[in-house]
Amino acid sequence: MNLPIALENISLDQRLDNISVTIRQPGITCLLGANGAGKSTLLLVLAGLIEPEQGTVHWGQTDVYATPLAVLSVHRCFVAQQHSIQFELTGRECLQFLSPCLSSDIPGELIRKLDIADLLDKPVSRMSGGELQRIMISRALLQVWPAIKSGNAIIVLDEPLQGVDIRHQTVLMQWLSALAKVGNQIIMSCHDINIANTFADTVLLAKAGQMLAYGPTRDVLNLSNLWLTFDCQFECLFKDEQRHFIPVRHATGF
Amino acid sequence: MSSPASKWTLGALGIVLLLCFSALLASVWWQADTTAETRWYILVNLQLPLAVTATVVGAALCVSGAALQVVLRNPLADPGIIGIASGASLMAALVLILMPEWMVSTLHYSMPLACFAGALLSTAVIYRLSARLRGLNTAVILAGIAITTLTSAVMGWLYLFADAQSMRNLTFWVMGSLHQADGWILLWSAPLIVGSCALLISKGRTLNYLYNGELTARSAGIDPTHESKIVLIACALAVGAAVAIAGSIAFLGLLVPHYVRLLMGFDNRLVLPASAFCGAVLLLLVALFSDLLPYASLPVSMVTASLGGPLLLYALLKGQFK
Repeated sequence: MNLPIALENISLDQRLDNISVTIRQPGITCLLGANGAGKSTLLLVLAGLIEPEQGTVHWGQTDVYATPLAVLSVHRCFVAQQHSIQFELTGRECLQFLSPCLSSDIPGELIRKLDIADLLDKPVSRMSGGELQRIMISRALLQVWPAIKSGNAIIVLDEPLQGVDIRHQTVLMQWLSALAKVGNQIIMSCHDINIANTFADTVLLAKAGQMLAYGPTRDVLNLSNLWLTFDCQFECLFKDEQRHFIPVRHATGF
Repeated sequence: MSSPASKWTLGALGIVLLLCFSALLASVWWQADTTAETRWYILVNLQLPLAVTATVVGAALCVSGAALQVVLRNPLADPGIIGIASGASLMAALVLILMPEWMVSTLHYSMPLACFAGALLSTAVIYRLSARLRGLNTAVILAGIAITTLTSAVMGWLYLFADAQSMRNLTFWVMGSLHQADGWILLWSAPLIVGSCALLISKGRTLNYLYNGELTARSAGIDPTHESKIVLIACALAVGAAVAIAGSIAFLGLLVPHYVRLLMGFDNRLVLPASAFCGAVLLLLVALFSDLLPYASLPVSMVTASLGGPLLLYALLKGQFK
């Protein structure tokens, strides 16, 4: 088991400033914050991909930066914010070449949930941004597929929903929720407060390299915290006891 | 290897390579009016070194090109473009033009050594520069272009001060020739090339992870900085030795891997060995072709460039590049 994920006193190059947080329960954790708040850097540090100048990262008993990358990659996958493939790979080739664990077929569940059947034989240069994003999410999940099935994967996604249309966003988030229910740890950044509000179990708010708040979604996502995080005023609407956040027009902090 | 189909492909390419190799050796028997003794002498002292040179040089340039294109994540990468070959050329030029009279008899051996040293030196300089600049991919190519520009400037100055004979030697060397190497030079360079090529080919699976950049590779459990360093060093050794024995041969390292990918897909476990085989076959054919011509040996670069230009344009039109 890789839990809890514990970051202690993480500082890095003026991008992260003394962040300490412990994620104890399996579930979806959503990082919210303005551009340049340090979300991506925090995800990279947490995923074991950039060593911080100060502080430690532990997944359960594992000291992440004292463990070889090959060992970490069995349980942890990562979807980067940007993809640049300079060669005319097809979707299938992306999955085959970039994932270490593909020995036979691509699991049907993955193809269905991310709706990539039509993309497998399409060259990446002809894919739209959202289509490529779905392929790259599939690639990452495929890398840790056995761990996902046994419920101890750490899935780190940097803005996985960018470019993805609303239907695929919803299907993906529902599926990630289901994966989190069986014990997988999902940590993602996003810019959609309502997605975080609907699907995340815990939310981390970041601003200027520091952590503003971390806790259960219901407690952390409120109007004053959102104002502090984004310098932007929101309105909260209730429907069927579910909250919905809507930015107020002409009411930014600028 | 990933599939039975790729095993068959590599097997077939291996057979073609053997056929071309044997054909080049057998071409001794086509020459009329020679005694068995002379034929044997030609076979051992001329044709065999020629065939081995063509095979190892073709393989070295193409497998290095294929690996560099993936490591630097740039389809334009080629041993020539990133400056490995130009470092070697500069050293060769320095030796050819500045060598004192009494040392001319050692030219046959000192030239390859100088080239090899030049290739390693320029790779070291490029690597140091790019490590300081951070961001390996673009920095290596830019540093390579800078080194290439600088070496061609220095060579321009050398031309200016060279005497007629040295200039002619240099021009011929720059165009590349498969007939320079003899058994002794091949004895150290061929194993070096074969070893480096084998190392590069064994990295096929690792190179596959690098298609989407360093971050994806790291997240899949590969250390891209370390792997890139190994690949660069192996390329420098292979290309350095290749340039040392055959001069500078244009275009092969760029062209062959592109055609291999066009025909066989992008799996580096197949692309790297197939590039090595195809490069070797191509140079053997060039050697065979120039043997059949009644003139003296053709500069290889002339043939590869004449073939390569149109073929690359065709690959371009087929949409090989983005």
